[in-house]
Amino acid sequence: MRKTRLVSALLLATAALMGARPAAGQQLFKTSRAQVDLSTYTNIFDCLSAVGRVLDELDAKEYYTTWVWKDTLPPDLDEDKRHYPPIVGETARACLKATTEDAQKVPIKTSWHVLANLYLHAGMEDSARAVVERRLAAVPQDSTEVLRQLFTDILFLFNGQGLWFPRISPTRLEIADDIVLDNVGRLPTLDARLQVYMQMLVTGGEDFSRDNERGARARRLLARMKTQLDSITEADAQGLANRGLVYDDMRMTPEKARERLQGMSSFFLGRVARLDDLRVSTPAYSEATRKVFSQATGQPPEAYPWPLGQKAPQLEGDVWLGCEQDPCEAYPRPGRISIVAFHVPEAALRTTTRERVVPNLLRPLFHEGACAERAISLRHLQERFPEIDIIIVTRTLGRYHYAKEGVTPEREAEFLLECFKSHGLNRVVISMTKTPGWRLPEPDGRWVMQPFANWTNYSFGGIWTDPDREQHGSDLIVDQEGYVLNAFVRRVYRNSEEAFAEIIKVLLEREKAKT
Amino acid sequence: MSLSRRDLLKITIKAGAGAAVLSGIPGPLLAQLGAALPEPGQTIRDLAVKELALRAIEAARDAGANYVDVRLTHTRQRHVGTHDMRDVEELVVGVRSLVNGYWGFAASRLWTPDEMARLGRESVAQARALAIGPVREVDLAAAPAPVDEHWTMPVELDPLEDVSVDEVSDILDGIEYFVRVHPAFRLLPGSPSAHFVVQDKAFASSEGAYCTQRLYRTQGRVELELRTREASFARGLDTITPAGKGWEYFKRQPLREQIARLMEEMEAEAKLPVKPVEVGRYKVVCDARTIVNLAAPTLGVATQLDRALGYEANSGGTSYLNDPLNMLGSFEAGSSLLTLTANRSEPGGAATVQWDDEGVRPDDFTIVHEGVLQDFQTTRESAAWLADTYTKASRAVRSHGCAAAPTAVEVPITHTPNLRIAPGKEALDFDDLVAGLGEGLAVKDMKVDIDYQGLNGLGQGNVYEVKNGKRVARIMGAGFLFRAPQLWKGLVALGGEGSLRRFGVESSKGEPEQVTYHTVTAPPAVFEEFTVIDPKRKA
Amino acid sequence: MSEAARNNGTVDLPILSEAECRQILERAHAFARGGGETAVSIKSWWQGELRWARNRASLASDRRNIEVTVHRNPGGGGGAEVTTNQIDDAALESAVRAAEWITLRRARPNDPSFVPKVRAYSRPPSAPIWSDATIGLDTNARAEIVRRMIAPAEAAGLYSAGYLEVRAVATATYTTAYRDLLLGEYSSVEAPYIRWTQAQCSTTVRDTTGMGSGWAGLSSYDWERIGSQCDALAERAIQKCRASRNPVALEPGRYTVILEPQAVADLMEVFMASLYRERPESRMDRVGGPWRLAFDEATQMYVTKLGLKVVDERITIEHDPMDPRLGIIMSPLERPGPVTWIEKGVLKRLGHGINKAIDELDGVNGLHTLRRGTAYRMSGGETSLEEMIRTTRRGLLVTRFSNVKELDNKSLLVTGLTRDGLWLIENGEITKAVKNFRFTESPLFMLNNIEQLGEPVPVFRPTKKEDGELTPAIVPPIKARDFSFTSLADVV
Repeated sequence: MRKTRLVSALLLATAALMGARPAAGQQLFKTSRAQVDLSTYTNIFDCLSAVGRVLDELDAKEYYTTWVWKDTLPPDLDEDKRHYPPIVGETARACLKATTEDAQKVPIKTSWHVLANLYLHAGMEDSARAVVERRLAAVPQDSTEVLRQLFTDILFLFNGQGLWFPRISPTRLEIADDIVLDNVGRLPTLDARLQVYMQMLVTGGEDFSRDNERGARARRLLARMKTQLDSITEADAQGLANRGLVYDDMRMTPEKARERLQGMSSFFLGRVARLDDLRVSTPAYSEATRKVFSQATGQPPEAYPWPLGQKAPQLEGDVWLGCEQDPCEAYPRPGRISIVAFHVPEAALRTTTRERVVPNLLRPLFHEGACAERAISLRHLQERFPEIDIIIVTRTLGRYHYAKEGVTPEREAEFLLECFKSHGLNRVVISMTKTPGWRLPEPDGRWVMQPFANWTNYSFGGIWTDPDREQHGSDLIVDQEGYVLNAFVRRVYRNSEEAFAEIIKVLLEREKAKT
Repeated sequence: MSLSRRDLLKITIKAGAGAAVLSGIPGPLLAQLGAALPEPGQTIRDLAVKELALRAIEAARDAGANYVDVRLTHTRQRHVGTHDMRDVEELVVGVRSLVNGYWGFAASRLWTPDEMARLGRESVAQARALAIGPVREVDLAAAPAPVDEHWTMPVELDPLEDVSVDEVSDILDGIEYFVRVHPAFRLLPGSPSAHFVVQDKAFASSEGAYCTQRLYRTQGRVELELRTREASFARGLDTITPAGKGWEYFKRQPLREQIARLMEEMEAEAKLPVKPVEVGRYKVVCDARTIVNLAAPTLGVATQLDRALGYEANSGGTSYLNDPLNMLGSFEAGSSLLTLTANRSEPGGAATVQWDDEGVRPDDFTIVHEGVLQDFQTTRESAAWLADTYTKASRAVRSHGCAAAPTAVEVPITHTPNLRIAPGKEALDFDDLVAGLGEGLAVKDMKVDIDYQGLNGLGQGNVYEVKNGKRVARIMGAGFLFRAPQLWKGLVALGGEGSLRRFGVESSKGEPEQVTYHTVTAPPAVFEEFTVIDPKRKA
Repeated sequence: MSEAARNNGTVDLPILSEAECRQILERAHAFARGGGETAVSIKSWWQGELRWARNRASLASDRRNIEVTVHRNPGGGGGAEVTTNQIDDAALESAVRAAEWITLRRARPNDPSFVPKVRAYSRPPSAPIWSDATIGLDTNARAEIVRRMIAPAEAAGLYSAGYLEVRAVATATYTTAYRDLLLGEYSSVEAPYIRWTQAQCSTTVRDTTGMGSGWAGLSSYDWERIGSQCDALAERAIQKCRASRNPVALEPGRYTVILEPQAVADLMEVFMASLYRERPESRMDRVGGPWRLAFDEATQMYVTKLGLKVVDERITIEHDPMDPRLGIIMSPLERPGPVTWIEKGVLKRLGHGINKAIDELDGVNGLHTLRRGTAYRMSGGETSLEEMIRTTRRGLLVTRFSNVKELDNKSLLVTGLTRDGLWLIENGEITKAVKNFRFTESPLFMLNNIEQLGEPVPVFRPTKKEDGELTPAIVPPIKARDFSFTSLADVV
């Protein structure tokens, strides 16, 4: 490893100055001169950890040299197409070369995932494919569940969803598709097969309405599902009841099944198209969305699990900061587009980032209120749409980070505001509510929290889960007329910014059109 | 060329300059940048270290010591877990002086000439404070003094110099990956991990001895928990206990295969039916690990001569060999099958050295021969206590070289050397012994609580019911109660040469407490009669 | 003192001063690259020791060492540590380098054990823990005391063994907070400089045939509290040795026991330890311990025995750090003032770590740890030992327990052995010495079967480790029913 040499040398420098003086005696933590010799590695598990280590080091090195934290950058939609630096592939290849024997003898049943992962990092797609196929071939004919689980694992692996293992990049979903489609026929029932297609569909992402590879892939898959359903018999249809893409519906008929699929297609492919309904009005958009949902699931439109089109309740707050109007309590403001961001203070103490190696540099900021990650994405939105309101809805923790003396709700709100501002989110409203709760009788004296108004109100009778049950809260858009909109994702973060932006853009255009 | 205070001053100044230059480089990563490679230094072998040692001896001599010895240790440790790593480096020096039969000791962390002189004088002052009391006889058994000799414990791969941290972490993470593809298992916190110790040691005595050594200790942890419907229990990998080895201890062992085997055993075990303990007396087959855990705190501790004579009475306790001088050659420590030897020479032994902490070249010696007590663990002082006994038996009066201390800041005392229980004649292993047992119990990995004379023990381990030569059930909550001599006299069968297993054992002793390591090698064995109780049952 | 003197450390102080510790941080941080945080944890100890056995001193020693742990954290969060005992510039710089280097390759971001930075609180007040008498007890004085302790044993034809130790320790954790990153009000976890002393003296007297053994010992931060009693310690050990000769074997079984304070303390170790959990009532804590009841879905917490009567109502277990006999090293984050764990038999408090405070929405109590039961005072009664004996029809008098080990975490069942004096009491009189027993009993059971309590007194409870903290305890003798002795241990 390069760095190994580097540090040693530096230490030599110091050693030469004093450590080398015999009586000083010390080795001065002189680190090993040895470098990793992959040719001495004997098993593929060590190889994969070597790959993981190299990836870690690259991330660390990148950070320590650039000081840039990836999560603060605008979304990189092509991330999964990027190639790792050559060293990663070289490591995998060199180590595989040394461990050919092991690669032959490891039990494929337990080790296929590791082996295939390694081959993919080495850029040996064919070998990876061979391993996966060997694994599939080993599955006894009747074990449907095993097969379906395998299909899922395969899709994840090739899609760079690493489970615990180093993620591959670029993703090779197309290979997984081939393999799965070659084998999906082994599933006895149409129902099982359709579920695999579903799995393939969602593995590709959630929004296929854009005109890109993933969109095309989704259309192909839906087409295949359609052909499956075209020839569906009454008997097959029965097998679909209560399963998979079709929810609780006691009697399933071929017609219904096709209708569901139709609904699915428009649900997945038609989102952007439906934004045209949003141009008309939010209720129209809501109605259209709920219709396809109902069509796709057989559930009633009102069962749609997002508070889309609901009237946004007024927010309550014991402390308001950053308001631009009096009285503050009028948020979200009529005539304005707002992002209502529910902030869970406990998350402050547990938040981590999605990057494999976080520059530790930013972790204290997290602990200073865990606002960094969200603040940055919200800032991006605010930069694009200066006119929107951003309202942080939260409740007291009784302290802030380690400040414990005299942390009033006011002070706590100030801390939080401070935190968001320190990340460039300059126009933000804080709505801070005293956390309702009660204390167990002494000597126990523990604090038991109660649900409180804002979060109950915004759960709309349970359609929307209470932010307290979410690790990091959630974000909703409220339009000019006070209708709630969602963006298919719970939270604003690096890769969901775009979805939020799309909706806000339409809402603004709609307003312009009116005037 | 001894190093003066002025030299040190110079160094400090240079350091300042050096630091200034380096601080030109920005950024934590860049701070690691450099070019050439350092040579691994063996500074312990430098003449200047001898100069320091002699300085201390000289000072103690001038202050009136009859005998002086000095130890300098330079200890480097590296701990690597899957999510952490820690490096430790320590330089210490200890000076021990004898004045009119009384020992004084002074130790500190400074390897400077002035400090050597101070420690020399201080150790004498310590001894003198005692020496004004009643007479005390100390007669150090003669030992040939090594002169300017060096020994490096033979290891294949120096864990700090021949291996990159990256390789260590790859192997540990590799183990983690391997366990993860076995959903029934999970790793216990803190495992896997690896721990390396490299100790450079210099010894000098007023008898002209001077020798230096480089010693190694490597150990690790891999602990698995199995969770199935039938059972949930944890087992550790027992092939990486403390040993006098380097990185090869990990690198050259098929760890993954060993873990795979451990997993199979655990799964097989989980399938066995579970039975509550039935108290009573049983014939019991013990695996090698159990024999090791039984031997170390009984025979291993009881045959330390200082303990047997009451020198540890106020701390760890004494010994059931309470009349050592008269017991030698006659006391029945076990059945005729029991032969226990000791050494500090076996390759890979955790207590293996070339010279002990008194500069004595340890010899291999027999503690118990065919059941009869032959000898005790001794140092130069305690060997002399056996002078008459030895002379009667026309044996040389010599120390067995059991003087040891973790580092030079602690005074050397008697610590257990590597032990070895001789195997049986027939080529039997654990399963053969179980097969031969017919009816009874089998136990693996027994942990032993012992009393303060190494006499009465309570053992708990993984216990199995044996029926017609097969392990048919797991016995829950069984405890084995024993008295050491009766236990060893009840030894009726031993596994053969091929069944010998070796484990590193930790032991603590003394006031203040010292922790050292030694190796015990033993075969599986069968005991005629083991009292089995329910340790959680009250009277 | 001069820079050079400090660098090569030749200044003859047994332990580091506060100024020297600060210096070490500043010098270490000067070597740090790329900002971020540098933290140093420093331990510095000195010990004067004297061992004796077979009526002769076997060793007198004077030892000192330090441990400097450099934590380099170019980022914050994780970061790596490197430990050295050398403080010259070369050593410090290389330690800083090594720490940075390790951080680079081994520090993992999402380390669950990571606890947010703590501001530098001052330490809550405690009774004195530094004694000049302790550090001033030079080797000649130690030797003289020991000769005095040996003499009567030797005169009586017995073997005296023992250990006398005086110790001074200093610790501090300092850090440079990367204020550019913080909101200004906080710096990293710091523990201000603190120094303390510990003294201990214990002796074991055995008869030359090894058929009898007696023990006595005391420990305190302050030699003054021990020195005056050394002769008494020696005398008690001799008495016990004499009286414990030629013991008879009794049947194992349940006996009424009179536990001398030391025996009570030995048994209470596991009990006191159980009063602390990192997260006593949260899901996270996998070890239930004796104080946890079922999990309550409504509150999402474990119901505990807090507020319930768990032992005899005569028992109160508390710690007042201002008690001159119970001074301890208070941690900066520790809840100040006295703690009462058990009040009149009722469980009142469980100690906990910082994580619990974080888990729990507990702004009202503030963020703090509640100390472990390492130092404590146990309430007693009026009954003298003699009275206890006089009022016992049949029972055993226990000097101390040894090799005590926990068997069950839930019931606190422990096993161990009696040591250095066990006697049979019949009709109000000590009638004969008894061979030692292995016992299997729970302190919880014992504390619920109390018959009589005596006056609480300081017991022998030093820490072994050279830089160990102070763990003073004041414990009464207890007479309890039905104490379970499970097997004979023919050992002296």
